[in-house]
Amino acid sequence: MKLKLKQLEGLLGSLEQFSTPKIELEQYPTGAHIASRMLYTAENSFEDVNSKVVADFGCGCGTLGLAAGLLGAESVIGLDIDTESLEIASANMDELELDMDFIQCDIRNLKRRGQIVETVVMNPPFGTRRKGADMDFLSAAMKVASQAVYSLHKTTTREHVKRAALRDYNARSAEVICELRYDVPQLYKFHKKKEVDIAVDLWRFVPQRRQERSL
Amino acid sequence: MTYLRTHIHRSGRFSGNEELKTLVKLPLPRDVPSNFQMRLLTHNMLSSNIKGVANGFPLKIEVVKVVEKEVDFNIDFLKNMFHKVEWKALAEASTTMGYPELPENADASMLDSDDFLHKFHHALLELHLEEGALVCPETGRKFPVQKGIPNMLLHEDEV
Ligand SMILES: C[S@@+](CC[C@H](N)C(=O)[O-])C[C@H]1O[C@@H](n2cnc3c(N)ncnc32)[C@H](O)[C@@H]1O
Repeated sequence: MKLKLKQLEGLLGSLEQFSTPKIELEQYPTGAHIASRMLYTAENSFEDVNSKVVADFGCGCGTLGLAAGLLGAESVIGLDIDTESLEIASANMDELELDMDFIQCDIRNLKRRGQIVETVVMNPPFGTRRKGADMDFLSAAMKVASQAVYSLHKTTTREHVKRAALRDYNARSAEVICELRYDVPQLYKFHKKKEVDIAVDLWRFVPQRRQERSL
Repeated sequence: MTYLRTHIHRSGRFSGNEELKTLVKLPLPRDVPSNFQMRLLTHNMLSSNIKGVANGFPLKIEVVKVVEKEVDFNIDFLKNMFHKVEWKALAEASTTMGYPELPENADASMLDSDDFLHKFHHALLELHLEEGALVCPETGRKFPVQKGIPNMLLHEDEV
């Protein structure tokens, strides 16, 4: 039976989130609303999830990867630099009675290896702490995915993202699928508001087909 | 080497024995995950990323504990993956994990054999390294695998 969008969102809504988010790693949760729409679109409009090998880059608490699992991904691999995130993601995986493999690594040092991963889904750091963090993720994802990359980037960076994807990261196409509102928890003490609402684009990138994919 | 058999559900489908699963799960505190795993599918895409290492693939496996899990058999997926995995690395890894059933070399004609497909399925998806290490073939540097999670983080001087 196929999951409906609302059911998917409901299941993701019950997941545990970062208990003590690390600001320097830009650990804000990908909300159930955005995560469900992201993966639902990837599956229902593009068939990039069901029966695929999906990797979740900077998986944090695992929301995106688990959403892929719920939509029938054959295998899901979550990558994050942070031990605590991976522990929360494992607990969430247990809670949903899904399977996921995890790799603790720095996305920036990832070496491409083969073409096993078909689809990469990610909510990269937006680069507000370390400039370029978002583009490091995109660059790595485009090397690993053989079929498609789904990612969130601040709408203010749209032109830059498009240009870099097509020119530097070997994208055959780079399309904004929709614009979403993203609640970034206000992490600095001197700010009064608890959350800021920013505009983000949901992108779909298609990598060039490669004959020889070894580095 | 310890073998442990657990039955789990995956992808929202039921593929095992619910009672058994509950038995396995109950004694653990709620927040300790019971689903440790690193499949050989994942091993097949990892390589040593230490600076200066020319050929960091395949990583050798040091086994402390292997777990087996039952996973639904998906023939189309296997046929698709056959063309993507590095066969030699998979066959070797499988042997190291205590399952020496894959031929050293394989070609697409073997995909017609049910027996071959089931062995391929078992090695790729059902064998999990829970504790051990992945070892860089060039430098011998060990990347620990704990609770099924390989730690590929590099030290400062390795980047
Ligand atoms: C915006 S959060 C993603 C949240 C995640 N999608 C979720 O549902 O919880 C960014 C994640 O990237 C991770 N991260 C940041 N820098 C990283 C790096 N260089 N390599 C790997 N992971 C990194 C953080 O630990 C954090 O979990």
